[in-house]
Amino acid sequence: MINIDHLNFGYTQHAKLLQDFSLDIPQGHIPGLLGKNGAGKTTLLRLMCGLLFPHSGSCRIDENEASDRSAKFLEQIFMIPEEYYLPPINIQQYIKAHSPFYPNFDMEMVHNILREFGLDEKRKLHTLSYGQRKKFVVAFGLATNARFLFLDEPTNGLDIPSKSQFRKVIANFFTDDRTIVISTHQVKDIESLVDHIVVLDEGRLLFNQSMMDISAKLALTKSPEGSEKVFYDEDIVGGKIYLTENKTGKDSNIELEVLFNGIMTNPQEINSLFM
Amino acid sequence: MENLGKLLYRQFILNQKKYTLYLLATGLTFFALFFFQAWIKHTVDFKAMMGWYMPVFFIIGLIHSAHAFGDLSTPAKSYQYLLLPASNLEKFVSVWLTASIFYVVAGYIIFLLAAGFGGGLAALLFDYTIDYQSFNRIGHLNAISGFLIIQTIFILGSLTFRSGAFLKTILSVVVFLIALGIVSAIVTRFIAGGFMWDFGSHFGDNMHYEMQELFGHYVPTIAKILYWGIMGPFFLVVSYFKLKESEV
Repeated sequence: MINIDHLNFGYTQHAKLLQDFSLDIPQGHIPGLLGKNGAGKTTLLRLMCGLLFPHSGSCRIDENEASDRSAKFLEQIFMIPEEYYLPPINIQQYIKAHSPFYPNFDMEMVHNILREFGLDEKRKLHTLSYGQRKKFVVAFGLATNARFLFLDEPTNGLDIPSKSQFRKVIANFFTDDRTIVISTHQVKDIESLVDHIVVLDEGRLLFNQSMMDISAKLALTKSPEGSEKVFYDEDIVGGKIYLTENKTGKDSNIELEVLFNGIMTNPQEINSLFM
Repeated sequence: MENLGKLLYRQFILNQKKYTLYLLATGLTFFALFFFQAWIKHTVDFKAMMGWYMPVFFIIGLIHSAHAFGDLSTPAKSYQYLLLPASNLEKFVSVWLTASIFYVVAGYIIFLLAAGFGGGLAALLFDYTIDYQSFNRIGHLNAISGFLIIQTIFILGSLTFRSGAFLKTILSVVVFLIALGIVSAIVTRFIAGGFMWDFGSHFGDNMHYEMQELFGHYVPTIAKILYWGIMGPFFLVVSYFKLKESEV
């Protein structure tokens, strides 16, 4: 479980980015961390991994304080940042040098995922394209069997087939004892993956609900008739789409992009639905 | 310390090209120098060759120390290094071992191999009997101990400066020494100037006995203790905490 409790952080003492921020992420979920550029998503991921230290408050993963960066804590987490440095050695050498640090590293899994991604293990890492490097790091990260995986803008730089490959690989290797936190502003790319939505805005927690609750309480419709409340509407080809309260009693299909825009436009009313 | 071996192994895999290049370049250069020395002088003079070798050993060793924490030089590299499952102490010890003990041992082995093969080849080709003069081990040990102390400043430099750590560390040390000299001179002049000696006379001629004791005995002793006993551990401890508190 990830537990963030009354956390305060800023890159300078005066300009606070996160103020009195609290969030719990239970184990066995794939939460999508959404927000505009500069909302604090990457900062939050870095705090969860112990790469930044909070000014006050705490950030714990399974009772381990992230900022301690103890070896036991680091064995349980793996982060894939947006920009990743890979040394000028080949894939095999990288795996040989880094896999011993992870006690549950699955060698067979890494070979399988690399094969799925079409990556030759004899290739030098610095000769790989941006997308191929990202695929390699995703493959390595999943094979570590780390219980907490943090992905920062994982689909940036991936072409369309690679994006679906990425979603397939994540879905295949996800197990109940793992938690995968995906931070992105490309919400469409992770629509089918996430089971929880966390929205940040200017360092505040704007929205935090499971997809199950969202589908039960919100609906998208092309006609607002019969709905008491329209939280948000958006022009689409041939008309409009409305984000309304779900009164059908059945789970609805929600487009994350519309939901995100709705939350950014009308957070209070949408949140009141979940009270 | 269970991850120490893994960290050392990782470091050797990641830097194998750099290490091989250094060992080959130094080894071949000194092999050639020993060969020519043996050819011309019919002797393998370790002492003379050490005079050439030590500056190379110091400069390369200090440059290496100044880049010891190159894994923290950019945010993209820092991510990977700071999140490696090993404690900060293990990370620090592995880097220090590579930059100090392993470097010294490898440097010494290369020097001896170059002497052995260079002198041996000259003896074989020109049918000389090579006189391998015994070399001053104590002198080398002092130089190596000095290196191990000075390099701790450069290790701190590698954690402080993200680029150009070697030159920036040298500049910082020079500025610090100049500032220390100025402050010491001013303090000495204003606090104890008149009391110590008459200006114009030779330093110490008219110095008060206690002051002669202070500057002739205590200050050099304190300076030696600071240099040989305190400085190295101090910079290593500061460097460790700097690593522990490193953020991306």
